[in-house]
Amino acid sequence: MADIDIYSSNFVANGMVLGPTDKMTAAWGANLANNTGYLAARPLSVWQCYLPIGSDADAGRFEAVSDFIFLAAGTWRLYYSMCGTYGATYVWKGYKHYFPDLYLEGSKYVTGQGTWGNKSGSFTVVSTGEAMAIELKCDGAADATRICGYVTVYGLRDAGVVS
Amino acid sequence: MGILGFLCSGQWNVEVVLMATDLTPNGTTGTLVEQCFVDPTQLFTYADMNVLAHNSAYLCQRYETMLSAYHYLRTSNDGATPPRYHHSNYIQSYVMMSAGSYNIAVSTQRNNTGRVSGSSYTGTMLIDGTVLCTFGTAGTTAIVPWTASGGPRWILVEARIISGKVDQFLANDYWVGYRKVV
Repeated sequence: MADIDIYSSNFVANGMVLGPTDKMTAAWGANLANNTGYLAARPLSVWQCYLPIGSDADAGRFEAVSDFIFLAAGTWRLYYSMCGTYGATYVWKGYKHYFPDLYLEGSKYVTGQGTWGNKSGSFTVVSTGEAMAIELKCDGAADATRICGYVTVYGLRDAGVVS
Repeated sequence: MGILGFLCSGQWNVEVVLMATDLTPNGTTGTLVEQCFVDPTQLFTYADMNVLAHNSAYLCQRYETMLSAYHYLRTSNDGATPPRYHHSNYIQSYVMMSAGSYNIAVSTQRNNTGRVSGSSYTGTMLIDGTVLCTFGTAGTTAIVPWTASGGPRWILVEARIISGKVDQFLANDYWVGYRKVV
């Protein structure tokens, strides 16, 4: 028996609905297993937060954002991105802009403070299945009230072993 | 497809035997069948296994969120075109996607209540630098085929607004999702 590689599995649609006289072959079973692996490779949208990019009092200055995310119990790989592109005619481009730091359950997983420009990455967390506090903040930054940007989090639950 | 056959005269019993057919993961309908457990004393049947096959096809039909955002933009006319933006005229999101063919669903809707009632703009929705569609005050819903190459990798989805040369407050709501075509 081989393992399913969820990142390279292809979905097989042909010949998968059996007729009364068809045999359930090993190839058919492997195709069905790979179909589930294919579906498992899609990261799930976990959380999105869009802080308006602007640096005057009216345009949007934020100190912190608090919310909760829900993940089924188990180990998850979370993929995040922070985007902060603005065009040439943006009024406040001369000001410092900072991505927020990203915290889960009080622990910092992404350091955005002091950085700007699109970034992305991933990290692993273990969920108990209960709500998890997610926070965006800029502890100790010189301009801690100027965090902004578009933050997205996707998740893939780690594959388990079925005994 | 048809097959010609020859029968002797007289009465015949005709039995139609169904053979393996295909799943329809790219279709627009699908049903998840919940009765898919087999008791210890039961035997698997071809119908039992077909339930599992159909259920996997059903799961293919869900759109996954790529961008869900409310885009607020204040502009002031300084004589140039476009005018000065007090917020970014871009909204972006990265999504980790594998290589393959996708249907990308796009919705843009303008909020024209109260202060945010500006209406002088054109919008563009892009994926990986390629234009998916354009939109204006009327809003847009569209499903656009798109192919990702070289994945899995981060794919950038972005909405861009180009404002008219006016003072205004704009607000648009965006939702973009993907479904992989198998």
